[in-house]
Order: sequence, then C-alpha cells, then structure tokens
Amino acid sequence: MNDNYKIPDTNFERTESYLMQKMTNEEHQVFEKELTTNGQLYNYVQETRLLILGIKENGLRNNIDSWHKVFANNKPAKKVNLSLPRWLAAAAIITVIGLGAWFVFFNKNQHERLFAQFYKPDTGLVTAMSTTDQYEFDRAMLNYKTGNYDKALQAWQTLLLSKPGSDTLHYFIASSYLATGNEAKALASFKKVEENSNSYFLKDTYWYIGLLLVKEGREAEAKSYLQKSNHWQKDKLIESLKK
Amino acid sequence: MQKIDRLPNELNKLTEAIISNDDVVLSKLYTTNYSKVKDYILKNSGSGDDAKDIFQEAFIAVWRNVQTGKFLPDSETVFAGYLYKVSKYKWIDFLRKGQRTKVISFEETDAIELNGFEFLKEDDEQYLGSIQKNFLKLGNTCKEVLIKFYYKRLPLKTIATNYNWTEATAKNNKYRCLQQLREFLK
Repeated sequence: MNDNYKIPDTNFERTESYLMQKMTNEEHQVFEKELTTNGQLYNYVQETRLLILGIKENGLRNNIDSWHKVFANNKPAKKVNLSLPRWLAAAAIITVIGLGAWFVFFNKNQHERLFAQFYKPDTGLVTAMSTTDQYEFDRAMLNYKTGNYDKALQAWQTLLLSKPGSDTLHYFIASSYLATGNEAKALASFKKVEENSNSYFLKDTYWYIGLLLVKEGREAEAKSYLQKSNHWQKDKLIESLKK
Repeated sequence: MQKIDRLPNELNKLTEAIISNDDVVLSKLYTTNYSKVKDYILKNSGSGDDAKDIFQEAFIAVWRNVQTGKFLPDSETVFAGYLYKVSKYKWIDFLRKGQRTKVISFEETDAIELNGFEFLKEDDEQYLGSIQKNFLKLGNTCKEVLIKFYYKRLPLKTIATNYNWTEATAKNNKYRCLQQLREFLK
C-alpha cells in the first residue's frame, strides 16, 4: 500500500463522521438537513452504513466461536445412526487408531508419558469487569480461558512491566508458557512465584514445577516439589514415579 | 425518505460497551445467556448444534440492533430478556419453515412478544450476507485494518503505528480497502 493514494470522495469523510458519532451538533444538523434534500447522498449514507455494519459483523463473527469454547466440554454427544457395514468399518478404523495410539503412547519416554497423563492447564480465574486496573488483566484472562494463550501472554507481559513483583502475573505467564509448550520459560516464571512465600498460587506452583521436573526426569527434585503441593493427584503421581 | 438508523449522541454505559465491541462485555453477555437458550431448544426438539446456531444468530441480531440504535439496553437483564425472546422467536421460525417436522403449539408461539424488536429488512439482510462473503476476498492487511478501525474502534494513529505507516497512509489505506470491498459488491 502506498502513500500516494488520495481520497477523492468528499462525501465519505462526512458520512463516516456522521455514522460514527464524530460530528459536532452543528455539523450533524446541517448534514441531516442535506440528507432530506439530496437523494444521492442519502443512498450513499445508507450503503456506507450497511458496509460498516457488515465489517463490524465480521469482527463479531470472528470472536463468537472463541467465546463458545467454554461450553465445548459440555457439548452433548451427537447421535449417529450407523448401518451394520458402516459400523464394522468404523470399528475397524477405531481399532487401528487405538492400536496406533497405544504404540506411540507406550513408546514415549516414561517421564513424558507421566507429564502428559497428569498435566492439565490451570483453569484460570473468574473474570468480572471492575476497576480500570483490573480490566486489562481480565481481558487477558478471557483470552487464556478460551485458549488464546499467546494473546494472554502478550497482555500479561505488558502489565508485568508496571508490576514486576506480581505473583499472579508470573503465575499466569508461566501457565500460558506451559500451555504453549514453552517449558523452560514456564519453569523460570514459576520460580518467580516460588520466591513469594505468601503467594496464593504457591501450592499450585509446586505442582507445576514438580510436573516439569518429572518431564525432565529429575525425579528426586520433582518428588520434593510434589510433596509440597496440595494437588489432589499428587500421591498418585508420586506413586507412579516409584514404579 | 425513511429515517437513517443511527445512534443517539448520548449512550448508557452498557450500550456504549456493546457499540465499542468491548470483548469482555460481549463475551460475558454471550456466555451468561447461552445456557438458558440451550435448555429451551433442547426441550423443544432441538440439538446442541441447533442451540449454538440459533443462539449465535439471535446474539448477532440483537447486537445489530444495538449498533444501529434500534435497541439501547440499559442493563444486562434487559439485554438478556431480549436475547432470550429473539432466540425463541428464531427457533420457532426455524421449526415453522418446515425444517423440522415437530411444530411447537400455537400457544407457545403466541406467547413470544418481541416488544417492537425489529429484524433487518430482507434486502439489508441479503446485502450484509454479501458483505460477509466479499470481505473474505480482501487481502489480510485490508481485513485487519478495517476490523481494527470499525470493529475494535482503534484510532488511526494506533493502526498507523502497528504497520509502521504515517497516519495519512493509514487513512488512505483504510479508504482504499473500503472502496475495494464496494467494488467486489457491485
């Protein structure tokens, strides 16, 4: 796109200002009066109004599915009526996929397998619009909860610049890194949370650090972290490490 | 000439948030109202997928009416009430059009009062559908610029900074993208 393109349409700017409430009262009155006598301008405004509405609707439609993701786990199973030959074919495919998955799963490193078995991303905090300070955090939390980890991470890192000591920010930055597979950075951020012995997120942090250490095969260190966590599956994981 | 649908100059807080397409507010309105509509549709011979489709279309219809100043909700309760009614209306309309064999009783249908809620005229609805399709033909930068300016209401200065443009370039590019969309629609 170049800088030489000039806006030729004098009506456009006025129309846009009118539709986006950017006119002064006086400009507004003059424009509305003109609309009653100038049919061409009237049609142009109507068309531009729909055009802008259509563009905005595209923006809305792009977001709507991500908002729906929070209900994804509650989606009822679809009823499928399979005839017998199809049923047999489906069973065969499922068996092949199942065997393949079993083969891949059991050939994976045992530590990675345990990590995959026990790791679930933190579910995040309940967001509620309140103060301005909270606003950006909540917006990022919404992205986090709908799986837009990169967006959430970006916003929280910006907030961290003004609140470098926030254990909440470090915790969710770590959780976002972990959810996107960036384990080294996740561990570094969880370690920042650990520095705050009063953190609300301390016990959860122990769990995730423990899990990361399990994945790296550092069993002894992992156990000491897991012992300090209060995760409901900590005993099961420690037991699995003994096998 | 028919009056052009346009927003009044002074808006209440909720309407302003919806007009500005505030993600936090819109997603909250979406997520807190879905379950009630879903329950209604599941109880009336619909599936989970039907519930999602109908609710999303109703949500967009209500959002459109806020954008055009036809509906100015001053509380989340008012918004929720309208959204529920529009969803029910859309579901019954869907059943009536014969897309499903089971038809809800007339008593049920008559109970839905839309209290003056207006849907878009059919011509406008079709034109919007055409905009949706043709918008996808635009280049990525054009799509982003138009969404950032009109949907997210970002100032031109911010958009210019994002692309390393001058503000004048951002303004011209936005106009050019809009013109391109108009051309596609001819």
